[in-house]
Amino acid sequence: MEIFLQFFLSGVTVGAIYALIALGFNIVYNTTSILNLAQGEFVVLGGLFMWLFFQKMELPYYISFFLTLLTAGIFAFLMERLTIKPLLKTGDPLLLILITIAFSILLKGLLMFIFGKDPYGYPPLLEGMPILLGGAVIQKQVLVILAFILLTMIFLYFFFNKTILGKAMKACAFDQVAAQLMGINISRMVMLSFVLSGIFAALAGILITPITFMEYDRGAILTIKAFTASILGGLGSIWGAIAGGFILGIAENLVAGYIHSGLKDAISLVLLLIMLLLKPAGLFQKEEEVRLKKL
Amino acid sequence: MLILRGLDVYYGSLHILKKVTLHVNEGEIVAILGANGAGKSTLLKSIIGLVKMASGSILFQGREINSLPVEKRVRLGLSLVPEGKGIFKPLTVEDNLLLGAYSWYNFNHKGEVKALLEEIYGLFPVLAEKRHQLAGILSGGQQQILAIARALMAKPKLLLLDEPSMGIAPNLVLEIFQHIKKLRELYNMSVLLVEQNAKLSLKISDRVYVLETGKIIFEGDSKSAMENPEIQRAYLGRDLDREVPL
Repeated sequence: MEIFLQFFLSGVTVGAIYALIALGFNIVYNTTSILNLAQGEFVVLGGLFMWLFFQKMELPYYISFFLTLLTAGIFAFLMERLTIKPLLKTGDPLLLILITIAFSILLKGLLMFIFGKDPYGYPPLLEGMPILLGGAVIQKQVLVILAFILLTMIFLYFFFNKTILGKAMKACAFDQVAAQLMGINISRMVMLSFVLSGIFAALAGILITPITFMEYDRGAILTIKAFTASILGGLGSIWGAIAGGFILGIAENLVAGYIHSGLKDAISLVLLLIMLLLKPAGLFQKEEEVRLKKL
Repeated sequence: MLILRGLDVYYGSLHILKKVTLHVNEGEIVAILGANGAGKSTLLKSIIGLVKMASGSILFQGREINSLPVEKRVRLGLSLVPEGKGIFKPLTVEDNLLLGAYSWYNFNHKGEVKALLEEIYGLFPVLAEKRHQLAGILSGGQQQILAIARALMAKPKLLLLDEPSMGIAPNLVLEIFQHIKKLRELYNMSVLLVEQNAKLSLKISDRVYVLETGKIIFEGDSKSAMENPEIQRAYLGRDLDREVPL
């Protein structure tokens, strides 16, 4: 039982991270109906720049924190203006998704160029001994991550359901022509969604680096995990992304613990395939709801 | 209020609108009649900016708006209810209406938006009833009413209506047209209307243009148009009466 609890809690930890990255996925998807597959690279960027500001330049934690989010926001802004905006008019989602992959490779190269291939880490926000919980260990940083997820969820729920800007972003995703007719500047909404998702990804990077360290080439696998989490919960659903993240994290750790640690990454792809085959709308979204979104 | 001069529009090499010249006066309801494929919808789309024109000019309240993007034209007071309504189905009825006011919505105007929203609910009680339901589950006629109500939330000076009667039960069509007339009086806005239902649009409009294969072939006030034998034959013929039992 103790060992199960340990696996479970490790799963919650990783799951919280996947959930945070998956949230960023959904912001872009909710606005543009495309996927930003450079999401994982922004997580890496967050971790590495936080190290640069906090450890190397020895700035205070909070200043480093905001500088890192600002950096991520600027990168995401440039990404959207230079690569997505010129091609948005083609209206071809596949083309745009491929562009985000190209940008992720570029960003990975840039990060390697700046930081080299070493892993980096820094002390967590909450230091001190891990907490013992019924014989299992849980790191204090995990509580910080959970708190940030809660804040992010509340922010996103409020933003998409209570503000006119969030509603306008949802309208863009559903029907760009009709959104234009409301006087909504589509290009500005797309830019905003990329900046927001870049910032949330970087936030995830800042939070997990003290636990797992960060190196330049971690982006792709994080993108895949977050994508699986989004599909599990249903693309576009905020609650789904959170639940999907936790389910994936826990499943990974149980499989790695009880069966074989080599299967840790495989389980994510297996779950992805099963979901896409059997219930592409996700565990928590009804097929009809998804159909309503698409026409 | 709105003046089009020598408007030319191409889709690829197809010449859709050929030197179209027309105008809409303040507070006027103008109808555009024409068969399928005459270019009526294209005309409205180029006025709002969804379709690029090759040559000509569009003046709105004395200002040339040729090169303005759609969202800026909406801000100036143009509003299009597109063919097929363009309702945001996954959003609630109320959110759809609020987005209608997007072009002038900000913190200073919050009270005004609320007031206009209540006014619109007063005009269209069916929307008030369903304000918190998803727009996608409304019936076709209710969605059309929502589309018009949403366009009104923009406080337009000129409302462009593309086939407001399409896909709607005939008794509802009449109701929608009565609304349009009432709204003109309430808000003193102008209306440019594209409609297949020639008889009805002649009845509510002040003036009419007839568009045929991209050219304006008739212009006149609606009453005289109704007595014009050419128009009677082409657009108000007995066959058409049988198709639209009104």
